[in-house]
Formats: sequence, structure tokens, C-alpha cells
Amino acid sequence: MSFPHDDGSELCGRVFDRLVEGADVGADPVLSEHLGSCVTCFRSMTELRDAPRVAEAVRAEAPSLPRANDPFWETLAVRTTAAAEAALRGGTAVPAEAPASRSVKPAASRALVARGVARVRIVSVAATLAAAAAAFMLSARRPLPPPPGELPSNSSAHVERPQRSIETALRTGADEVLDTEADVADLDAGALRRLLERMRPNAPVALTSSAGGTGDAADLLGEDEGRMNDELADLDGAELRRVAGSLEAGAR
Amino acid sequence: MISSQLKLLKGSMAADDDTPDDVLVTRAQRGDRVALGLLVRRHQRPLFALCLRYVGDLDEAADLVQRSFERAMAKIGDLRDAAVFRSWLLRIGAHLSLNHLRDHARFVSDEGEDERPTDLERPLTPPALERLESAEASAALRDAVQTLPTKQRMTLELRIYEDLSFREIAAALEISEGAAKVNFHYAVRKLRATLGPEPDGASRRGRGR
Repeated sequence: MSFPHDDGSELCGRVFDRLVEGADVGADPVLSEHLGSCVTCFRSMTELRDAPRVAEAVRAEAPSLPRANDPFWETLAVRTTAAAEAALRGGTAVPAEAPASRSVKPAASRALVARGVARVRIVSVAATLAAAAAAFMLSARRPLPPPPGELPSNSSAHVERPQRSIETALRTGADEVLDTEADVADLDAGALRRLLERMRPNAPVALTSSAGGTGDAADLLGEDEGRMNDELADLDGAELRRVAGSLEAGAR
Repeated sequence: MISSQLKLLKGSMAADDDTPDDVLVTRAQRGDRVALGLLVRRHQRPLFALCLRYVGDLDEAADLVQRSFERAMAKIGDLRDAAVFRSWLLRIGAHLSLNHLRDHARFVSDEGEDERPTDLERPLTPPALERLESAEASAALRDAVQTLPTKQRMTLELRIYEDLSFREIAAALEISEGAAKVNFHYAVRKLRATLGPEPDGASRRGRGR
């Protein structure tokens, strides 16, 4: 917004600044001369000349306050200080890990925390589903198709090594790492996602649909699914094989 | 012993009273209750006056003062320059007051309207006529102030009641200094029209606040 003059000249602006501040425009001969020749500035001067009168009238309308030594002020100060202190403590001063602060944290902080939790859940779910899908693939003993975008090949070398390693891991227990290159427990989120993508075409629909890897998918996971994931993660090789068998039967 | 401690306490309080707002705000953010109390005591009166002008009720104005400080402390991280705490707080108070008025607008009744015709039926003596004209002028001015656009009203009141510079007003309302001046000009123009022509012989000197 600029000053409300038609031509917007620098002189008009300087005159307006002086008028609105209540300063004497006549003290500056240049501005005074301009004021005598500019209708807009003259009108502004006429209006703003009444500012003291307007201010006086407005002040006269102000409601009366309690006296300065009235106990009202001390009472107000005490209760206001207590409320402000509570707001300050709740809004900024509480450590992030304190449970009591969660409900009063800024929305942005809550969103960040929620996103972090969602990421952790994505990785956890992806790892569990990858393990289950790998077990399923192992028991199905079907050759894996090439990744999308790659020409079909008779050689399955790119999947044989992980398949062997997973088989070994299942045989010896999930916690025992014999081949670190292919142990799903050691894969990061990206590698797990790639592995899952490769296995997706042969995995049951119910498994692959909930592991899309997006934040929205993670947000849809309920408490039951979380418990299921935890239980799957605790299974040993033989149990995983049984689960894979039942998944295979379900897929048929 | 106790008296010397009291003197010491009073001395420290007096020194704290001169402490700039930005220092007190920083201390309050660190959990200094004394600094927070000083901020409240320093600013509660102008804030209360502002809220009272909007809502016209002592209890409601007191509630709005408390809520304004609560809001200010909850949002203290948003305050870019702690030196403008006062004007920022007043702005919060004005917004809360306007929201309060809007939320309670449905409770405004027409009570008292029925009594006016009977009062007006009686012939008015000259002093009574003057008082009535004065009361009507006051009501018209109050209405004119209340119907000003929010930014214009806030600018006018911060200038007139709180004696803030246009730069401070601009910082408080998050507008440019030029916009603050124009808002003030427009507000004065409208209220001037409500007040009518200036009586002959009245002083035309003085600043606009």
C-alpha cells in the first residue's frame, strides 16, 4: 500500500509523511510550495489537520479503568502470570520426550514425529513382509521373474544368490548371519523395497498391497497389523516355512 | 534482617522494572517466573484497556487479558523481534477481542430500545438537549470506531492510546510503515466525517495522537 495520492510523486509522499506524523509542512519551503499547488496534498492536509481533534474525541470515549492501586490489578496479574507460565511451559519449555507435552506441542512438531514413526513402521513392515515373501518363494520353488524393465533371461543368477542365502538363513535360524550379503535383517529400507519389488509378482495380493512403501500405506496400518508384524518377526526358520506354506495354500 | 532482604528484593525488582522487554521475554522463555510476572504487570493495564474498549465489560476484558498472555506465551517462538513484544501482545488482544465479539454477537439483544420513546416523549430542557446531543455524538463516534476496518481501527488505537510510532504499529500488524500511515489517515478521515465540522476558534495545533 502506498500513500493515497494520485500522481505518487516523491513530493506528495514527503508531504503525506509529515502530515500524518503531525509535523509542520510549512517549515520546508519546497514542500510548502508543493502543498499550495497540489490538490491531493491540500485535501490530505485538511483531513489530517483534524487528527488531534479526532484523537481527543476517541480518548474521551474510552471506558474508565480501575484505579492503579486497586487489588483488581494484582489479582489479574497473579492469575494471568500463572496461566501464561502454564502456556509457556506447555508450548516450548517441555522436553520433547516428556509424554505430557505431546498434546500441547506445536502441530509442526507433532507432524514430524508422526512422519518419523511412520518411516520406522514402513521399514519394519517391509522387512517382515520381505521375510515372509522370501519364505513363500522358497517353499514355492518357482524361478523369480526379472525385475520390471529388464529383458527376460534364462539365467536366474541375479536371484539365485539371495535365494540360497535366505534358504541358509531359514535353515540355521533368522538371527544367525551366514551370508551377510543376502540376510534380510541387514538390508536397508531401499534394498528391502527392491527385494520386495522383485518378489511382488509371486507374492500373495494381501501381502504386497499393504507394503507399497508410501506414507499413506503406513498410516493405514492398524494395531492388529502391528501385532502381526511383531509376531512374524519372532518366528524362526521352521515356523516361517510353515507360514509360507499356509500363505501358498491361501494364494491358491 | 528481613527488612534488608525485602530492600534487596525491592531493589532487584526495581532494576528488573527497567529491563527491556526483549530481555524479559528471553528470561521468561527460559522459565524465569519473575520475568514473566514483570511482563504481565507491565503490559496488563494497556492490554486490559484495549480489550475493555472492544468488549465493554470488565470481567470479559480480564478474561481476554489472560487469554492474550496465554496465547502470546504459547506462540512466543513466532515473535521475530522481542523488542516489539508490547505491540505484538496488543495485536493479539485486539484479535481475541474481535473474535470474542464475533462469537458473542448472537447474544446482543435489543433491551432498552423500548424505553427510549417514552424518554423522548418528554419535552427537553436546553441542558438536557445538550446532554442528549452529546450522548448521540458519543454513540455515533463509538459506532464509527467500531465499524472501522480491523487494520484501520487497530492502527488508530495503537497510535492514539498506546502512543506507538508508525514503525512500531507496522511491526505489530505486520504491514509496511506506509500502510500503517495510510490506515491512520483513512481512519481519521472517516471519524472526522462523523464528528462534523470543527467548531469555530478551536485549536488546530497538536499532533494526531
